[in-house]
Amino acid sequence: MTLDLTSLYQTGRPYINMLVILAAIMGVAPMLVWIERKYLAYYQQRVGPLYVGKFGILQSFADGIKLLTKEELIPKNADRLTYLVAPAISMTAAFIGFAVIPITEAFYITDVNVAVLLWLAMSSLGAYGVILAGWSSGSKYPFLGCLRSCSQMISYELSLGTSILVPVLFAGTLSFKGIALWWKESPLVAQGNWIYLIPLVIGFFVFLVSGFAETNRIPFDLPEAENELVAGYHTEYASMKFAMFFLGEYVAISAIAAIAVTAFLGAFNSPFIGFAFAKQFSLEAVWGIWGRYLGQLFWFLVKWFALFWFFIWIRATLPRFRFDQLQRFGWYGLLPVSLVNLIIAALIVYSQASAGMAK
Amino acid sequence: MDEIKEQTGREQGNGAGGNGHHPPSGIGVKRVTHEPKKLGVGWTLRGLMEVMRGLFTTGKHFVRPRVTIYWPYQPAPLKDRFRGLHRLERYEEGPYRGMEKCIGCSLCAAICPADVITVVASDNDPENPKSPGERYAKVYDMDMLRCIFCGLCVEACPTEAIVMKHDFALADYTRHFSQHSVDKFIYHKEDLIDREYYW
Repeated sequence: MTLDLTSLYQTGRPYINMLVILAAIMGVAPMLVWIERKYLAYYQQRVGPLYVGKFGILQSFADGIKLLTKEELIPKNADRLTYLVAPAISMTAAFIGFAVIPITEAFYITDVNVAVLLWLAMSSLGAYGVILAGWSSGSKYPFLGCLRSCSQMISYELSLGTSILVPVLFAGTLSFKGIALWWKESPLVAQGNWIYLIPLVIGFFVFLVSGFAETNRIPFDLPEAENELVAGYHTEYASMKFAMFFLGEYVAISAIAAIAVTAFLGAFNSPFIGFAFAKQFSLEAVWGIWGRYLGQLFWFLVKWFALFWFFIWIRATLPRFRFDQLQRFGWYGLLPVSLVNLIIAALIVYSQASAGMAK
Repeated sequence: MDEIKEQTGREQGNGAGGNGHHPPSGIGVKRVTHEPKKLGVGWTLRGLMEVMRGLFTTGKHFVRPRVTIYWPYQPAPLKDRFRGLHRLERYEEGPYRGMEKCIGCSLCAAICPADVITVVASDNDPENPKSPGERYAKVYDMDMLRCIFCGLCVEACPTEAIVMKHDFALADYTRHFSQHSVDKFIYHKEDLIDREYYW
């Protein structure tokens, strides 16, 4: 009896990918913190972390060790169980978002037909971590932070969900892999039909802004506004529990960036996919199927990192919103824009489909 | 762009009497709020342009050279008149060559606003004078924990005996085991006279 390696691999592939992606995120998140600190420093003409390792590259690991060895501190007023569970919710929900993101055609954990819904649900669940943390700390500033976070999430998840419906509508599927594969034969690429670009561009902006709010990034970081609320919802957290929040935050940013790449920036496809010359220079022509996967991995990482860089750039540039401005911007600005955008997208799909039928 | 909108406090729903922070709202009390007129297309585009301008500004700084000085490894660029740690001088030339400039007049101690300096003067030995004057400083102590580096002692000194050099990183992990005293931060005359300076 011989061991059927191929079928064994087919069976075990989701689990292998799960381990690989989990390990990659765990390894990459500290590097993201380092990159962010370094780039933020560059935006202020400083040099950033410098002394731990070459170019301070091990700074985050040093910080991690420091947090690991710190004293566990649970406030007397804290609701103990909730207090302990909250960071785990926050981090786990952030990680689960990566389960449905196709990094290449073959490299993903799972491809469910409700991936968009799953991811939206998980990002909402992440808000529970924040809210429970603030509530269970038994302290006033975290409580204020969690209230802010609560209403902010409710306001911005609407436009987040509505704006991501545009590629869903175009691709006709709720699976991220389906959306990623749609890019290749989309009318935008295959026929050069530029009208599809309008709702995608508007949707991308709305999605990005809502994504900033969803991950509590800087123009919308009211839940942890340092100069108002000490540290917001994680004021009372120390040592590893704080590190879990911190890690979860960066994983959530990575997930948002990866989702934006998949849904709006052409996923893992090369940006030159519509041009004829790209066929000759593609890795697929040289190394076959593995070359294709490698090219897809490369383009996914490039786009994803560019978006992460943009997140840092925004953080270096924009000041924090006032809370009423934040709510007004969400409800009067982003939500109507994304709704109108969705209608435009639907009209485009309808008109193109009927035009196709008339032919 | 902003329209000044006037509303009475009562319309704001804040009419339940003063809460101590604001003047009591009611008839005749106007509150002025600055709000954008509307959230139109022009307003949105203008906002986006402003964000772009901000991004461009930070982007410019991203590519500029860093201004950080790698301090303990590189010398710190200080101005000539930087006021650092003090030093007691000697005459380097002339008839009093090798003598201390300090004549123990205590003017530095008198002017010192932080009461740092203690001077105990003593008469010079006529055969072997330590300073050109009648007297010299037998004790010259500076409590550097109190010094505010204002430089008044330097200005007050009639013989330019006390000067300020560029040494500035004076903190330490311990107060003890100085060469001349139990407390490292009380600088005695031996610490200050002919002190080697680095910056």
